[in-house]
Amino acid sequence: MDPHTTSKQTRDCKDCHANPKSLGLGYGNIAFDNGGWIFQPATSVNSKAFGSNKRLDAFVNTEGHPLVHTGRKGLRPFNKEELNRIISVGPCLVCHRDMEDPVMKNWQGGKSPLPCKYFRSLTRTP
Amino acid sequence: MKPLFIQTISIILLIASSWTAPKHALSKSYALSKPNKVTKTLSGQIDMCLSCHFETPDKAHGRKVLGCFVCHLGNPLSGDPDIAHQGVVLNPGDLRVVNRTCGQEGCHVEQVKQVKNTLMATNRGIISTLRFYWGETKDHNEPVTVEMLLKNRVAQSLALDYFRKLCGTCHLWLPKNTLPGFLSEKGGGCTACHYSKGPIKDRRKKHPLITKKIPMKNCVRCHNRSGRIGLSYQGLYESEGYGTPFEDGDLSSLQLEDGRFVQEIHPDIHFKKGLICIDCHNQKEIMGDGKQHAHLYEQVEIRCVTCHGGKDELVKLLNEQNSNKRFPTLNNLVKATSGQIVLKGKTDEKLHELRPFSEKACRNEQHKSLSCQACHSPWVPQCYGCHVRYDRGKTQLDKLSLNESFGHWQEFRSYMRYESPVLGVLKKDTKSINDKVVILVPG
Repeated sequence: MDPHTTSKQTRDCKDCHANPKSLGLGYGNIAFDNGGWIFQPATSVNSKAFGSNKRLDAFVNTEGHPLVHTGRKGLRPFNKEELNRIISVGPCLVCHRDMEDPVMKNWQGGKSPLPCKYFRSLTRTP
Repeated sequence: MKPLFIQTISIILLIASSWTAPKHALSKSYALSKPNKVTKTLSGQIDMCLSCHFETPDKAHGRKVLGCFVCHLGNPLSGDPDIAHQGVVLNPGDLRVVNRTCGQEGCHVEQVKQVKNTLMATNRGIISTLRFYWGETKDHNEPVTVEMLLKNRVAQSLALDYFRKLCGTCHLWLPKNTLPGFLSEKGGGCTACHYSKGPIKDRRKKHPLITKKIPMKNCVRCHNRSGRIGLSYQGLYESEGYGTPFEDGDLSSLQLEDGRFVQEIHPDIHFKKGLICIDCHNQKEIMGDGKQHAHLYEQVEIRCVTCHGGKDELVKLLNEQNSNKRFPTLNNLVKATSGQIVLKGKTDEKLHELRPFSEKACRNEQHKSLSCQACHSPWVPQCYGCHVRYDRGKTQLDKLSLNESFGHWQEFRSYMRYESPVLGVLKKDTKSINDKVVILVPG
């Protein structure tokens, strides 16, 4: 749907690439470990009281399995591959902040090996 | 010769009607208010209503132009109020009578046919989505309409009971001024939108203003729940039901007429510039194209790129507008003195520059699948943990039958948020060539 809250100013790059809430995972943090990312939820559910162990703010789990139905055919939360692709850009935004940055301008979409030492240090296997 | 002939016949009928109803003719009220002359419209039609009624509608529906009978029915040939008022309708826009009033031959025939098929009259999307997710149908596009429910053509069910009692206040079949409180202003068929209180203060002349310049409040009267677009557009964010103490430790001073508390945050930029709903949304979307669509997204055709797609697109749209096409995409484009094609506000006639989107920012390879809203809609009301309670022992007003019946529904939510709208993917369809990243709204 169109929320009808249009603004000339766009959302920040990090608001999508580094914000698990925007990606449908729910409130929390994304951390990088063991060569991949992990999601640390900020909310929990008292499943005994609630009758379900699903967090209300989560549309999808970290495996890309949808946790909600949508009101429209063909509409779904991101899948695992899409989550991986979007989240992998998150750490780069610390230094390469917008589309004016040469790294972002020449982004290969994960097709070429990332040369960044910082990123490698984040994702290295201990 | 023809008008004279009609007039002669009318006078004969007038005399005949007085003669055939002696008991009314002799009544005290008639004797006191008996008109002393035959009143006619400009076309020569006798309309005796005009001798007692001085209400003054807008120019196109002017009292001397149409008289009262053409819209309000009744008997225009009788000077007896009892006879004259037989069959009178207060609201000609009511969909039950509209074929004989607004939709009669020579008036708005096509629009009336179309509006009966529009989602605002059928509510098809709301009904089918409810029934689909409550497991009552396997067809998400099920053609069940409000009209069918009013005529009891669909077997009653839990989802339909819920619809009748909670959702059934926002459709064009609802008669105006029948529901209690703030709900009384909803509904009314054509009048639901084309109605404004009007500028005339004199009580005798006061008549609702029938207008094409639909004020935004007429739209927001209904479009303020679910996606809450009518509120969000104005920068109104619905806070928690108990009235979060945002203002110096006290409840918000802003409350909607239904009691919900709201906060003022960033409005839509189009609102800030003075645009109202009808400046973007065209007749075909609002009043329908004659087809019965299953869901809102099938009926809406205006996109951001309609206005922001660049000069070439605007030239095409202006040509379409000037080509006498029945329902052009936009009908308020004008060429400004600068030569630019601009959008003219339908109520304030203000000119709005239509800047094209940035090719560089919006069409780069990595983000080409993003919808405009994914980036340019920084907030959206998100209702988490939406749930309902059903009490079969209590009664509640059925907003369609207007009768109380057993089964009481109450809606709850766990919490509301507005920041960081959630993104997801919409599979490509007939209206798009790629999968699109769009906003998902819970609630």
